[in-house]
Amino acid sequence: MTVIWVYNAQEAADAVNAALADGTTLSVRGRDTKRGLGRPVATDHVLDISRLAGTIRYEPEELILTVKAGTPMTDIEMMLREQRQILPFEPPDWGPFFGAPDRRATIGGVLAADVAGPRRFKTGAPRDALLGFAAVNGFGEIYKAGGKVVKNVTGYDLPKLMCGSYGTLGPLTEVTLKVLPAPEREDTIILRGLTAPDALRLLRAVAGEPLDATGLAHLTGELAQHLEGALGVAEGLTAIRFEGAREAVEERAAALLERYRRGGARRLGGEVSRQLWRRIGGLDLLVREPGIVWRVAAPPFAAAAIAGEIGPNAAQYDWAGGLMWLLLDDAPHSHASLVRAVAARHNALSTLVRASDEQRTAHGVFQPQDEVIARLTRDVKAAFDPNGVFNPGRMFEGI
Amino acid sequence: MHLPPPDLSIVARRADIVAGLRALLPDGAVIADDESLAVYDCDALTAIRQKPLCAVLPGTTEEVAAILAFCRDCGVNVVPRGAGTSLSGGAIPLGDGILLVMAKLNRVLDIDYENRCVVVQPGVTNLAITKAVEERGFYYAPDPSSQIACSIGGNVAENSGGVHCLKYGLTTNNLLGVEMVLIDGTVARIGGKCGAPSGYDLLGLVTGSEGLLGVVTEVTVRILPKPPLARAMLIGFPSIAAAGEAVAAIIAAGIIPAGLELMDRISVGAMEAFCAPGYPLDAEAVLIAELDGTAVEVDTLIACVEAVALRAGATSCRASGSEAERLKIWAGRKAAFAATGRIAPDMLCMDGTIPRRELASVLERIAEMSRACGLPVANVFHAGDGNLHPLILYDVMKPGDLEKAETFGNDILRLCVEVGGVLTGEHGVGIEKRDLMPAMFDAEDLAQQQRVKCAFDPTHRLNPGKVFPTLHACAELGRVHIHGGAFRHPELPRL
Amino acid sequence: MRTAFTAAQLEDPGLAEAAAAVRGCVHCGLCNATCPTYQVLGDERDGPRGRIQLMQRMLEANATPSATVVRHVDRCLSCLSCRTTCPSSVDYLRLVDEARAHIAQTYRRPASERWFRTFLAAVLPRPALFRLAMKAAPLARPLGRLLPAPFRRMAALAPTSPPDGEAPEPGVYPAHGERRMRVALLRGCVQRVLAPEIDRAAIRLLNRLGAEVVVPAGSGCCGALNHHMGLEASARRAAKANIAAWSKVLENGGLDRIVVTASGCGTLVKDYAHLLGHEPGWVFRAGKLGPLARDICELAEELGYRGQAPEPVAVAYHAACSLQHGQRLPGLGERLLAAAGFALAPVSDPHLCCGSAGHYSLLQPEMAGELRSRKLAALTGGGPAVIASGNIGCLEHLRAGTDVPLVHTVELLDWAAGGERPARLRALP
Repeated sequence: MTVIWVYNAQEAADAVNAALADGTTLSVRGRDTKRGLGRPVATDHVLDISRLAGTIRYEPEELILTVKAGTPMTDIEMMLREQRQILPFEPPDWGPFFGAPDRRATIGGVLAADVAGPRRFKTGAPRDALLGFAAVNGFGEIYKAGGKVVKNVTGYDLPKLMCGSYGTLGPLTEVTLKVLPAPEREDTIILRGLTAPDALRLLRAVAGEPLDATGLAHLTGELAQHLEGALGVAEGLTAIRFEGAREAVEERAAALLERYRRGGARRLGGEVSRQLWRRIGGLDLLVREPGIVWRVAAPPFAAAAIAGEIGPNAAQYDWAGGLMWLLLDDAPHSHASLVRAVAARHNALSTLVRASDEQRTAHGVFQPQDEVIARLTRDVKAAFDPNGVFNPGRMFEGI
Repeated sequence: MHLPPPDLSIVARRADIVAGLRALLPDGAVIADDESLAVYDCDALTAIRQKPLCAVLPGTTEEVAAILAFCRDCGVNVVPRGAGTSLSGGAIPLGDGILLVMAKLNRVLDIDYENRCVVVQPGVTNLAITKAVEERGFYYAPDPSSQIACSIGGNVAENSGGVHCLKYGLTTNNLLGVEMVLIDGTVARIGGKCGAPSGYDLLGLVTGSEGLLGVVTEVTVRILPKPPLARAMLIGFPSIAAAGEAVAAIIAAGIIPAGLELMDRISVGAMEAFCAPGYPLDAEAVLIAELDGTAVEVDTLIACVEAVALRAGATSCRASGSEAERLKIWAGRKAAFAATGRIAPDMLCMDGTIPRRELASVLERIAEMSRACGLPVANVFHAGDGNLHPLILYDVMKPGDLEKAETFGNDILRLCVEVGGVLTGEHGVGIEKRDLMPAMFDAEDLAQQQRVKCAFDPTHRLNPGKVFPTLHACAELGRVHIHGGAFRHPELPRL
Repeated sequence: MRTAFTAAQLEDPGLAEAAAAVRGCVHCGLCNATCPTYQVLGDERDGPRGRIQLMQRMLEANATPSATVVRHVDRCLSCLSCRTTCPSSVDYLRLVDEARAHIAQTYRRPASERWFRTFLAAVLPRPALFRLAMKAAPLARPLGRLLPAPFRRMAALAPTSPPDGEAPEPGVYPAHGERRMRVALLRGCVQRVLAPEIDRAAIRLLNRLGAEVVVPAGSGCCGALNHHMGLEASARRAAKANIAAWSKVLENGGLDRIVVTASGCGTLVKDYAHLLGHEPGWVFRAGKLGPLARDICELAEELGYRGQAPEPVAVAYHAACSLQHGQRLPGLGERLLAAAGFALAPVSDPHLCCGSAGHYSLLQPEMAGELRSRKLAALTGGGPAVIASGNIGCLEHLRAGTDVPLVHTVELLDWAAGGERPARLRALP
């Protein structure tokens, strides 16, 4: 399996054309930090876009950033930090979770894998921040879609489609992102000892109030014990984050602290708060625990019931219950039939995120689609890559 | 701006088509007399009028599926229509197509406060969703100016925005799921209350697809808790340039206001005549800035915005003191487009987005163009995200005026693309901007978009003649490589 | 919008006004959002934007309209909610009035419809005949199927209990204490027969507020009912009779205001100058007297009304379309009831018509019934003790669908200012 490094979009197109001529397949990768995410794929070559990196245009006053798709996240974050700006979807670093080095991810990979952090429920996912892009399709053509402004409905919204497509529609070469001003201040209120159902009810209530919380997470005791100041395995940790102008954050955090004072609420500020959410987003607590990890996206109200029916060893809840990471014992069956059935019953979507290659191949990674969606998925794939050149089988068999 | 010529072989079969549809639907659901069809011959873009073969008013998803399957089978085009408030001609009928009117599907189906979402039929108006949840302190954020009348199904088709989308996003950022009927009658449930895609983000793809990929029959939207306080500031400037500077400075200060709207003198005059919101009539440009949050936060933001505005040369500045006053300030802006009906008989509302920094220079170029062609222009726009709405004022009864207005409009849109913007920020491409698509997209770009269309509607029955200037047969677009005499991946559909 | 009226057509002032209304429409569709019939039917032809087009083409063609056009124009309530909403200030009233007149002149309705309309036009405006018809109604019921449907329906709506007393006789009703103004009453027609207590309460209240009230013998029906059927000549005759009667009052002692207690009448009376605008001999007087017209609540407010609700009765106020849209007086009734010290229950969608709309409830019973159900749900949701409204049509129409007592606003205002407790409230504990 050869690796083809490309330094610009034309070279990427050339590589695709070559694959078309030969009838060969390509894995698309940035720095390969998320190889463990998705079904294992065996292809003839690897198309590596990590050298397709660099800033094309950064206009802080327009809240717009255009970079090449292989640009490292660390470069982007540093550049934004200097201008006191952030990416709205708070992309976490999943490298260590998937057994890769940290701080290596590229923006292309982050978008392709729809990697979003705790702030997603408030400020959106990658698909809400990708305004436009250029890419190579499965016809060997370089094309663009979207635009470089925030308000744009010209033509089909292909940027949405590219996010979370795991490279199966072709490699991104250039992306234009919306950025936001960095919040002036950050405070987190933490509570310990709540059961998951109680914590989720509390988080949902906070989400329903105009408090502008930007982080609503709960870690069960098995995970929370890895944080400093732990008091015992039984102690779950519930965290509510506020970000924004100093006065606003101060007012909201103080109000919540007062509300839950009798429950032993404490306030974390500044760097300590930032650290906590980095670890939550980066799945750091799950890295430390062995076992299979399932990710479930659910209607928030169903989270407690879903977890109850699956019975994980540990769980990390985020987005006020809209997202769960469930830790289960390793087993060849991966608990797949149980998890899939529970998810289907509650209109949730389960993803097998940490399991061996064999397990992921055997049980699939993403929740099986219903017939109609599966058909549309095939048809959309064929619209971009009818010859199945890119990452065949990364998401579903045949896609 | 014109429709494709109708396929006469379809028109010749009209009686059979009408009879076939009548057999599928309850009495009264199919309207086929000329007089009635004349009432359905356009949406809010009146420059083109075309009667459909017939107008069909289904009442259920099943009826919609039956209608589409019938049209696919007997080769008739379909133009979906919500409330008919589109400004880009998205719902203008075709002479060889039926008009599929979704207005009767107008019920709120499920209000789910625990999951913070509402499930409605597509004919429910945008504002009706907010009204359904406001007693519990929630609202639906995207608020196009036509929100009392526009349908949520139409909002999904156009990916509508509105005044508050600067801070709260467009329809696509507030949508959790849709039920959509495809041209062959298949009912697809895309997305849902869990708010995550099952595979590709098909929900994001169909949002803003302007009726070309399917017909929406149910919509699940996210609702948000209403901010504790919102106040609107009304700021007058001696020039557009000064107002533009203030806008840039506000964003540069790290503030994302809930709304940031700019209006010029002409539009302010029309709005004041409609509902007297108290706009400063002597200012060349008026900015409405809305700040929301807690009282402390709002006070801080107002002070900041005021300081910025004064530094940029504002001549007047006041903030609303009550909810009633805030609504009054917005009432004028929300009626802006139609209020121009008081100063000229007809109006062409343009919609393009530009980088914010180009605001002043683009408006100056527009003013030059206006002088050159002799048609006045009232400017209203979402300054916060650079989305402009030049309202070209004309009189359709004056020979040549409509043509001049259309040319003027096209020139404005080309200018938007020239300075790094896009053809449409929220109204959609429809018919209005279809022929300008090549100004923004190359042949390859358009071909790739067309392939997506082929994945949903390979026989091009849904809303042909809108959005894309030339139809390619799907086979043309889907070059498949044959290697070694065999197709790779024979299980994938060949387009 | 583009119109195709000929220059000759535009010489007719009524048509010119209708054409101007059409020209102002920019087709934005916001009017549909507040149109009651569009909300129910979802059909563009049953909303103002579509009706404007149907009426435009009918008037341009100047020919006999089709049954389709007539059906959709007939279905219009003339509630004018659309006019309130329209940002382009299209005066829909001028268009729909012209259209109804054209239809009345050119369209031949089916026989039973024609008879019923003739009956309504002849009987309703004449209290003596109407009283007779109400007395005869119980006799009509056993006739059942022999009577055409509209007659049967109307008979079913006749009140089963006798009216409460008599309407005020013609004469002068002096003010209590110092006389602050001299006011003439519009005697009206249907209200006199069905609810004579309303004008009695109005006169009591006005007297208490310092107004001398003259009930002129020559005043009667305002003409609105027939006007809404497109019977212009009959409407003008009614207007002239009232103008003549009020002129006499003016000459014999002066006249400051004309008070109207049915808001459905008030809209037309305030428009008398326009109605008689091309009648030499009447233009001047109509121009002088029309502007003196006031709704009873308007006049009470002008006279500085204040009251103290004798009982904590929960009131749901139904704002009649003719008051909030026709006379453009939103919030008036609510303000007065609040000034009277009553607690007002919140009412959703107050801008939507109850379905009464003159004799619409008799001519379009299905739509009227549907709108009534929706309106009553909005009014009675909070369990009010009484529903108040300022228009006899609304009161009678709503009464047929609920057990909650319905009274005219002025009866509550009078009661709170020291007058009698409204008889219909007597049923309360």
